[in-house]
Amino acid sequence: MSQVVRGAVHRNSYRDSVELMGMAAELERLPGVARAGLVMATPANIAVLVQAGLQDAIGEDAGPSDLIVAVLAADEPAAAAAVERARALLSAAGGDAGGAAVATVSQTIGEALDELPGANLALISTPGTYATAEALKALKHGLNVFLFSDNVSIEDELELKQLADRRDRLVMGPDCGTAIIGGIPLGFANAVRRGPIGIVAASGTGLQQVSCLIHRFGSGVSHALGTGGRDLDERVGGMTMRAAISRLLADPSTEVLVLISKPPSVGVAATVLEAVRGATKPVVVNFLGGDPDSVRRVGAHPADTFEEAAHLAAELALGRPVPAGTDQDETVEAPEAAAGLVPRAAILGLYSGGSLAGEAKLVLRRELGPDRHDRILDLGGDEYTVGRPHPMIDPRLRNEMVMEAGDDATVGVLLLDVVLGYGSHPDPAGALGPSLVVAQARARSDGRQLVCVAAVVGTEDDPQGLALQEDSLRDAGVLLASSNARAARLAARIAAAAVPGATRGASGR
Amino acid sequence: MRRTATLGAVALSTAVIELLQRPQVVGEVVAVHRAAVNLRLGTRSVTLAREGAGGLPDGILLTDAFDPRGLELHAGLLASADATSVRLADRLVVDLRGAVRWSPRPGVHKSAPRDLADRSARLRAALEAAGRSGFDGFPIPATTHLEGFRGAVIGGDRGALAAAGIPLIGLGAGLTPSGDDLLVGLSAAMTCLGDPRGQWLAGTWATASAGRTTFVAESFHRHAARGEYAERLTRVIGAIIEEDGAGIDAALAFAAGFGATSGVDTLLGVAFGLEAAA
Repeated sequence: MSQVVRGAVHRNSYRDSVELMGMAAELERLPGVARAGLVMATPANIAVLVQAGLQDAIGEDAGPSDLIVAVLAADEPAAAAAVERARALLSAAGGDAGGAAVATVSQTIGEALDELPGANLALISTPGTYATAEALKALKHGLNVFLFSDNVSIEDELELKQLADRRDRLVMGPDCGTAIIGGIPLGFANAVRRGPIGIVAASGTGLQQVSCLIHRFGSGVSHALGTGGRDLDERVGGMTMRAAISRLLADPSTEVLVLISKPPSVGVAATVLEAVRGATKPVVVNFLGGDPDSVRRVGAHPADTFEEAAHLAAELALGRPVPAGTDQDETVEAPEAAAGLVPRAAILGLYSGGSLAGEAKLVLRRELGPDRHDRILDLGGDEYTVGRPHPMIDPRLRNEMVMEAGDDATVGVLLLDVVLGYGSHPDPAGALGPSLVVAQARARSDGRQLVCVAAVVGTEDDPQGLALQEDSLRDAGVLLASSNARAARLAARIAAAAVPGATRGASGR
Repeated sequence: MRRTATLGAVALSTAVIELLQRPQVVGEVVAVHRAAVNLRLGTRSVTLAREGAGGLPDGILLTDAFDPRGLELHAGLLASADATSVRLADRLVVDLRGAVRWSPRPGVHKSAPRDLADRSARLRAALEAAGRSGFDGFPIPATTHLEGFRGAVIGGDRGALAAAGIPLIGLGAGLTPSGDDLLVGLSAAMTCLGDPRGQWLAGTWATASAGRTTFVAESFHRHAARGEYAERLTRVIGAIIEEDGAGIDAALAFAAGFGATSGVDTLLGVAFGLEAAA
């Protein structure tokens, strides 16, 4: 007689094994139930359930934080009864964040406000389809909004920002990956010192790079406000950036402002710059590829790179010169590092941060000219992230591409970013290192050298620890620079030294 | 209006102190048990537990007055912490200021006995005699995985052992699946014996554990990679290393009292660790 497999997934439900064993035993005592198991939906457990023919019990998208109830029963009614009994047992035991047991977990913004009446900001991270509605509710409750969700239409973005403007609230996003509000990190952000510098950024990893470098230069951040990547689009007109500037100019804890953006629309850049004309606080502006004269005309300080923006802001905040520091950008002998590179070896940039990739492109074009075959890829772009997590969380795609680069005779220099902080992979350098070692070994076996250059965006206070991450990369043979711009310049110097006539395999390392 | 309870912490791990050096970390309650609560603070795990649990690498120990369910704590509740306190929404404030600091990094036993393989076998036999063979509560026997793993332990090659351990990550029942407990027990034993492969293996498994197991188990792998283990675990390993007979008794007591099935699974790992270090 054939048996029936049924199951259920309880989201974010952690139980200890004694409770689960007791529940499984109770289910197996029900009439018609042959086997019952309650396990966390880890890949290993799922594989075992599949091997055991219980795959029908596994829900779609179940992850390691979810609890699977799997039942093998004589017939459909027996299986359904067991699944329902499991639900009741889990509810009775309490603590199920995803099931009916958690009547006390806030299910709506209104309920959350009942629990935390002093809240003034909502972080929204739902699928894009629902994000606009939730953000509108939050604004109507008088909250500022950090909108992590992407796939929100530009029309919806405009509606949200117009409502926020009328209610004197801020909408950071959509697709806003990072912010630091009064020392509290939101989304992907780093553990940086608090201090007098306020940042407004239409650039996620740009904000991270600037805030980390401000920390390294000895100053700190009052607030770092993300705007979402489209804010400086013509259709949105920089509404959030202008509102954020206005707040930071009025904020007593902010003494210096830094504005950052990927290349903005020229008209919007001008509108935003008008917002700082005559500002009573110094303003540093780094719009990648922007016109420095237009920045000077409004009395602000132009910066060419994220590092320069951070350095200038730190000097303005501290009121004294700050040593920019030296690193391998200045100490590595490019011809020596380039020994063994094939002539005209190209640079391949495999970036997890889009803004960092954009900055690298600009630096390389400036250092090497346009007539090159270098490729700088933003692996966080939509074309690489369909159906998989962002590369700052999931390193697998980049690891595969790194190893493939070892087999690519045209690539001589790999240029990489490693982004630390909350939300990022717990050990990005450790996850990347083995692939780099493999790629370099593959190149050597083919008589070539593959030079790896990277910058780590992070601080010692980040969960991953800057020094530990840098040590891990050095162990994997990586040349490190203290900023992304320096890493790009170092890569350019090494690639430029790979002149025709260089000996293949000369390094022998 | 709910009244917020305040409890003083008795002891806290130095690994937790590092986390709390930041101005403020925020997160949530992940799981609530009879005598302990697992929190996610930032990207890290912190466990609030009654003193009887002994030092945990991510632990803050409270007096036995700590009653998570009486306080109506539940998963998803807002948690935040700074250098002086941990706050769980409006339910509980834990005052850290009077707590004793405890390091989860065990000392190395300089004089390892020569009969480690025998001690390992006796430990496994004692567990089996007590009716605890590991991977309890798992719907599918894990013996096939363990056979391959045992081969790698005996083989002695750290790369092969690391590779054989990866399929065990996330395998088994519970908040910390059995395979994770086993791997932590193995690296703990090797670390206590001063075998440098213990830390190397723990680091490899910590990297591999991302996304492969529960949040709490992933956190224990990360602590193991830093050489940080539960106090009661390293004490029982010390007892096995220092004094065989009493060590086995201590191990059985540990198996009965540590976690639900975790004690047995961890000790199974300790047995493998002793064998690997032999």
